[in-house]
Amino acid sequence: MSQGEPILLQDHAALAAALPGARHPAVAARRAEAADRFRRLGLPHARVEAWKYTRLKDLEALPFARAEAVPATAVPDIGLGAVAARVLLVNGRFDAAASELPAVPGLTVRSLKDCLEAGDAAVLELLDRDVDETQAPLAALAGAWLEDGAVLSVDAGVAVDLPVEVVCLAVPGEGPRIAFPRLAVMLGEGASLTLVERFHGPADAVYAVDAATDIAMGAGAALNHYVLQAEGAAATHVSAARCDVPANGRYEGFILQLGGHVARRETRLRMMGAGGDAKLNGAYAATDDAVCDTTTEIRHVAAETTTDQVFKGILDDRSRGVFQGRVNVQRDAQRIVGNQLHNALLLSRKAEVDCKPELLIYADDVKCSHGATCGELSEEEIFYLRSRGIDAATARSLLLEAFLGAAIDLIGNPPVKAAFAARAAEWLALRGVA
Amino acid sequence: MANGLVIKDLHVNVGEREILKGISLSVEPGKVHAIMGPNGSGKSTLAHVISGRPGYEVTGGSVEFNGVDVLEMEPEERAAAGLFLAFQYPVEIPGVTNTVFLKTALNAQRKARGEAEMDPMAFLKFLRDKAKLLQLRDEMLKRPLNVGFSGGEKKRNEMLQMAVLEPKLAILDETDSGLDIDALRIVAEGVNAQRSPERSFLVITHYQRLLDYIVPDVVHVLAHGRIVETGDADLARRLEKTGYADYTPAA
Amino acid sequence: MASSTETVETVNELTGAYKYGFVTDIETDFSPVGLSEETVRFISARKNEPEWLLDWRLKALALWRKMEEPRWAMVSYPAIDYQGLHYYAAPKAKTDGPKSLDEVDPELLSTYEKLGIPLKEQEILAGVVAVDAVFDSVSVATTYKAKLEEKGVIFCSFSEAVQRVPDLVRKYLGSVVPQGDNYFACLNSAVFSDGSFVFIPKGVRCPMELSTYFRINAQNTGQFERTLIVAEEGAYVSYLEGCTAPQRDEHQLHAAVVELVALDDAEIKYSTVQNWYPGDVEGKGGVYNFVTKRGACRGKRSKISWTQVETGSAVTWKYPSCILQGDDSVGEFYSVAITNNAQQADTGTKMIHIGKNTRSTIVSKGIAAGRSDNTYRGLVRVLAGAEGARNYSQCDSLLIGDKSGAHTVPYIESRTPFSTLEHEATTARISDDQLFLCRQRGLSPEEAVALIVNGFCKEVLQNLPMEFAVEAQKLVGISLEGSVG
Ligand SMILES: Nc1ncnc2c1ncn2[C@@H]1O[C@H](COP(=O)(O)OP(=O)(O)O)[C@@H](O)[C@H]1O
Ligand SMILES: [Mg+2]
Repeated sequence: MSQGEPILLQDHAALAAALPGARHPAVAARRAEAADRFRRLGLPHARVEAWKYTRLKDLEALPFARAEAVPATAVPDIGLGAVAARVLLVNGRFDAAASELPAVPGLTVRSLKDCLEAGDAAVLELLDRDVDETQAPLAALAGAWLEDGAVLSVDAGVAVDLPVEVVCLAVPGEGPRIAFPRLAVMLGEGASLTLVERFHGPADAVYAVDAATDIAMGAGAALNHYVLQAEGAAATHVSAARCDVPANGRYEGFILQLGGHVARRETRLRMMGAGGDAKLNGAYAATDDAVCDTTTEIRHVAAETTTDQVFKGILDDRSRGVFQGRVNVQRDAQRIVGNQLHNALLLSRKAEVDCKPELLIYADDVKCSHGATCGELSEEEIFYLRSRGIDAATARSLLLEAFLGAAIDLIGNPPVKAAFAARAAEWLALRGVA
Repeated sequence: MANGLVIKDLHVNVGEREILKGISLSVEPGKVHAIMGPNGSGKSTLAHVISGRPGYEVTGGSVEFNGVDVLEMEPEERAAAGLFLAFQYPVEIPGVTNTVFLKTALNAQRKARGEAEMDPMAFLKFLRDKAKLLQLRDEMLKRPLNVGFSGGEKKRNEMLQMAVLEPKLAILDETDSGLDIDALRIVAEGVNAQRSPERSFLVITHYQRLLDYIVPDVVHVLAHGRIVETGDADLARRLEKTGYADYTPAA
Repeated sequence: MASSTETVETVNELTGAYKYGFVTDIETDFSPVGLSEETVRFISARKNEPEWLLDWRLKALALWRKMEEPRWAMVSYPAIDYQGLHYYAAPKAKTDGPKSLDEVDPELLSTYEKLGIPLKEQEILAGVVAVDAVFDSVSVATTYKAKLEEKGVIFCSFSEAVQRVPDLVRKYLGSVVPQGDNYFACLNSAVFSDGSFVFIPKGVRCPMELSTYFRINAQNTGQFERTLIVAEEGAYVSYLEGCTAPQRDEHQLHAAVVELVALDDAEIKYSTVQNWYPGDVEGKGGVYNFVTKRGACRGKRSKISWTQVETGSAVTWKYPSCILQGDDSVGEFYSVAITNNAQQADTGTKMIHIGKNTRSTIVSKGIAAGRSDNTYRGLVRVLAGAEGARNYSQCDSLLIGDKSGAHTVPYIESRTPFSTLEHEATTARISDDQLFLCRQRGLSPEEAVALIVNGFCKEVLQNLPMEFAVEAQKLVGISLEGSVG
């Protein structure tokens, strides 16, 4: 048994009694049940198929404690420009003072803490949706410590034009700390929103983030959901987003992962109604001995739904990239289109990539495909550029930027696209990779 | 009873919608009938229903071929009885070569008619001769059915299938669309070479152009699910000038 | 205890006759039911095996007892009663034992004849194939031995090889699939009864295709054959394996092990047409096919190519693999797996790239009809030293009807930048347009499906030797019967 676990759940019952909304049986029971579940599951180990390639070694080895409530430190700006709201979650806790919350018609931003205190049924219901529990020990851990976060709602028929940013900021304490930021998003029928979730923390501190985002969409709603994971190099980051895409709903997701010592972003989409469409793309880059894991699971529950996924990753030094993408087409979910592509570039002899794309298909009128490649930068392309007078280093940097750019270009929102592209370029330049 | 194709008051629905609203038509052996009409008028629907494509509901009327009710027959039984459809949009079958496909089809039909299968060597020669007539390269016979064929090649390939299967009635559904003038001439020559007192044709076309080469005995105009006019080859020439604007939907 | 000792002694007396092929008059055709040390000793004694081989088997048994049956594959079947099986069954000799294939089993022969396999002696004499037929547990006839021996090729039953070339057997047995490799391979290592042995000496190109037919015949019998093929430097062999089993209501267990070793510049081409009894429409009966096949490309520029057409068995669990140790070695896996009715298949390959510039190709075509489940599961692993490694994988699934499932689960693990790995997978169905076109041209729905599916599988089928390709094409049609209404 690793040292981390008992500390994480030490005196859970007593501590949970002091958490927001503990007086509501539904809230308390939820935490207790999640704690039990985590005690049973423990941290993910290699025999759990979903965690075959990623071990949370820092969580296993170090005595992690819950992160304290502390004031915000400076928030890195990524140059998005004007936003409809900027919500700051510091160590998972809603920091109203440091957030920008102008009044926007049809948009409501609340702290999860307030919702829990009030026993808000709609919010609780959203947090309660089922997860395949054996696959999600970290969701159980986060559930046990459910405390605060942000709740965003957009009224039916309202289109929020500017992006809403949710910044999860880690501020370290004395020893290794773990925070549990939680985000709930509710879009009414026909509503639309651009949401940028980003994760930042100090470059050198050992800390962990176990985050979850739950999204509910009314029929015909549209969500752009962009995630920037820019944790510090010693951080453990596990975050999971879940979204049910309704009939005629539209989900466009992008995940840019550039940070963390061990980082894993999971996205679970369920295509619940005809005409639902999801695009889930992403790019990642890792260096040193970082592990960067992108896991997606798309379940086509209803007929006539389409999904498309494109992921690109760059691995340098001794880093390891993991991509697991499962597309599941349920019985009777006919006339489905589900495509998936993953390309990885290894830049060093010690770098590794593990890729497990899966198609599980139970309906016969489907067009599903996946493609995966891993390899090195094309010598031929480098040569081509050099033969045109570009030096080797520049040629490499151009090609790497272009490689990630091919995914980043799929971002539909222009300011976010520009901000993410700049962030990726900066990463490449900083690491001397490019 | 070799009285050819006889369609009486044919009504056809797709889903709730009535597409064919009472078609009557007789094509005697040896005759070439053309069906012209604006897009969406139901020409392909008629061709599909005659050949038994699933997805259509016949709500009234009859289709007989040489005295036999074809609506009761499976598509392959109709094929064996001599009905052939050249598809408006030829279908691709990856991995199955043209040669294998045609050999399998021909032998299946011969078997259904109680005839002996064709000797493989004889078949190859037979196939090559037909291909030459349509100016299809031998190499195309080895390629998977229609995969990677150009539009014109696909249409010529449909004609090759007709030439090999030697049907009694061939329905050509817009075989001319997408063909340049040379390809059009090749296709028409292929058809004309097959004309005989026993074989009849139902040539569906949107344009009069093809009918310069394949001169029809009878021309029908199909509009909004009904045959609104029937005449001789001159009718086609007239339509070329006036278009289909005259045929407004029936009240 | 006393009676079984007696049995062992009787067997020992009789085994003197074994090297001629067959025991003349055996009172017991089966090993005692159940699996124990005694069973293993019985089998080993029956085959007059040397001490080391008995020890090897016993070690496997000890390992097996500590192992758990694997459950990660996407197949489900009721628990197998390993103590309710016979682990050895020899055909009751009719007269003096089968001396030629004509005496093997007319039903079997006529089955093959129907499928167009040139199994009849005269056709064999025409020089196309040399055949070893394994009937239940015992190899009954190896034809065409003399001609092969001229070239130095050894092609005989495994038992015979143990007697004739024990050193070769000892050197290579378990060197690719060690006893404890996995549950079923371990079971096989303890109780394997017979199989084929092939040895192609340095520089020899085997002058004909070698072929083995496996048949499970007896009731309540597991079949555990073991095949070992060694191709020395520069040698070449093409080996074909065909399988059938009669229709029985109860399940039959088949847990074979195949080991291939290719030294420098050697090439082994291994083709399988697996048509074990799949069970009836409801899933009653049928063979559990839990097979471990693995080839080691030990030598530089060696090549191992697996081609399989899997149409039979109730449950298939099989991953023919290549360990690409030698620099510039090549592994190939071409597979067609068809499941219909209640069949389940979880099959694929592993390509382990160790040497430099190793290359592998995977082409898998899965067809699922009825209520069946068809899973491709494959691993491509490129180790750190395998610079210049290349893999190309293509996995296509075709679904027929809306009650079946087709799954693709590739694992791609790369430890070197200087490799190129490409994986593509698609899932689709036979389109209504394709079906209608075929019917419009005169084919029945079943003929149409057979034609379209054969087209879908073409890349794989064309890798089979001619005689097998014809059989395989027919099998594709037969195994999909009833899949379209
Ligand atoms: N499978 C179908 N489902 C729905 N509508 C159809 C279908 N097939 C044909 N139709 C409709 O029937 C009408 C006639 O189509 P078609 O026979 O293809 O016309 P034409 O060949 O004369 O252009 C069109 O309005 C078309 O949209
Ligand atoms: Mg049309």
